[in-house]
Amino acid sequence: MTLKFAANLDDLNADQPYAATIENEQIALYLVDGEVYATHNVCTHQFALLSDGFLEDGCIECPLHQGKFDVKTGAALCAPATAPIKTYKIQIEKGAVMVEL
Amino acid sequence: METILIIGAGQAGGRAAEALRAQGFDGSIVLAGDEQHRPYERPALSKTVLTAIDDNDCFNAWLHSSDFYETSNIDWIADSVERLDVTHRTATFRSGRSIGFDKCLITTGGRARRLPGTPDSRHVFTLRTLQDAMRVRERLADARSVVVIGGGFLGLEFAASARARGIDVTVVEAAEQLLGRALPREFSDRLRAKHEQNGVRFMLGAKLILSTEEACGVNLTFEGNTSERFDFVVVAIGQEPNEALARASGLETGNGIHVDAHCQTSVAGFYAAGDCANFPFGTSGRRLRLESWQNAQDQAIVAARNMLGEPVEYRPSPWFWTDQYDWNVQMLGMLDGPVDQWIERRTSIDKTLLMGLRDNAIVYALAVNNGGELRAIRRLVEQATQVDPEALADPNIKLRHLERHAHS
Repeated sequence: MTLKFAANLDDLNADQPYAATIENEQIALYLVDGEVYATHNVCTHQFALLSDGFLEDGCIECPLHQGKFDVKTGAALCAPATAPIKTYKIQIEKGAVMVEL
Repeated sequence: METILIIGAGQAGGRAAEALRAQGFDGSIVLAGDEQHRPYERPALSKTVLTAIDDNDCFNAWLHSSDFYETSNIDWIADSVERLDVTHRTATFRSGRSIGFDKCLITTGGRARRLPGTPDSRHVFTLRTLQDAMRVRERLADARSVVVIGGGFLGLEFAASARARGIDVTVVEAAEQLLGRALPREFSDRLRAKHEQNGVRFMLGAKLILSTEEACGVNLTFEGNTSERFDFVVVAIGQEPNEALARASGLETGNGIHVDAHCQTSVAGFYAAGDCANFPFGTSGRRLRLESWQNAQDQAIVAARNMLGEPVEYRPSPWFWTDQYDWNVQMLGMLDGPVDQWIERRTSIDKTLLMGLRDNAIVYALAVNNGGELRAIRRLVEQATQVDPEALADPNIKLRHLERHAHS
């Protein structure tokens, strides 16, 4: 398990998730109430990037079919999403968002 | 112990059963369907089922895992109800089995409309069930040409899938425009162009007169006396609601099973949801059916809650999607009245958001590969919020800020 640089904290905003690719792993970063969360970026239902989706109240809605995930726990919250999305631990170091891979 | 009978084990029936348990119903649930499969979602039938390379990997759109029904104590049976006695609340199945119940939900869905005057032929296919899709998949493997009758969403999705398989595709549509009632003219033309770029040939305003079967294909004759031969035919001219059982049982029907805003039919204790349910829509309360993934899911859940005594009205904001080639097209609202202004936020030919305004409120929106932006304006559409058209057109103004501002 290693910490990898994902983004500068300044690049994140509360309106839109941030897409990062780290060693071929697609990751979405979310800023919710000042806290940063990270999940895998590809919906568990069909291929779509959650970073293109709609973030509200700590939940990300997939842009394809509106499957919904809790960005903190990865839990699938509504159909058609049924499988949870992988989450990652993050750390903030000197203004940088580091993701545990 | 109370028994709830769900007739029809498609997406609506399966979701309703799940919702009943989720809402705490601890009585008996019988979920009866006439397909041999447990409940599944149908969108994949015109797409991945047809395009997947591996036979073993071509379908995974089950509504639930295979052990769900047992662990949730839901009695799923592959047997269709032949008679329903609404007075004594008994149902008799094709197998001869008979059961009593306390409440009943009818989610019998619809069936593919047949082409009038076309005899049964092993070269003519429809696409409604998983079995249909597997038959079409098999046919695609050795065919070189196909003709699609009907240029609606299903026909176009099938056309895209058949092109992905490298097969010559001709789409025959009786109207001069594709999806004239569902899409704005301009976008309809773009969608047609997208298909043409992918090699689909269209025959618009074409009227099929006759089809004759040949040894290894069909011959179609059109008005004007042109004739053409194809390896097989896919008929995609819409669906008809399965309402015969409800009608024979004395429930009010007519273009589907009539229900009120609480999903209850004309007989207390009997409910209907999904493709087969004809319900009062919007402020006008005009009756319609919605044939969509969203409706099958949401109306079924609302019906289940009402059946358990929680009075909930079904007030949907219609939302449809279709996946064709690399386009995910989503539509919000219905194009069923005048639009006095169109505003487009276009990122590229493959990514755009088109909004139709009436009296400065968005009544309809269409997104290509832009579901997140469509979602951002959902509440504006649902609540018919007054918007500033100039702000809406300004690419520098974020839609979700507009939305938040409008409701703050």
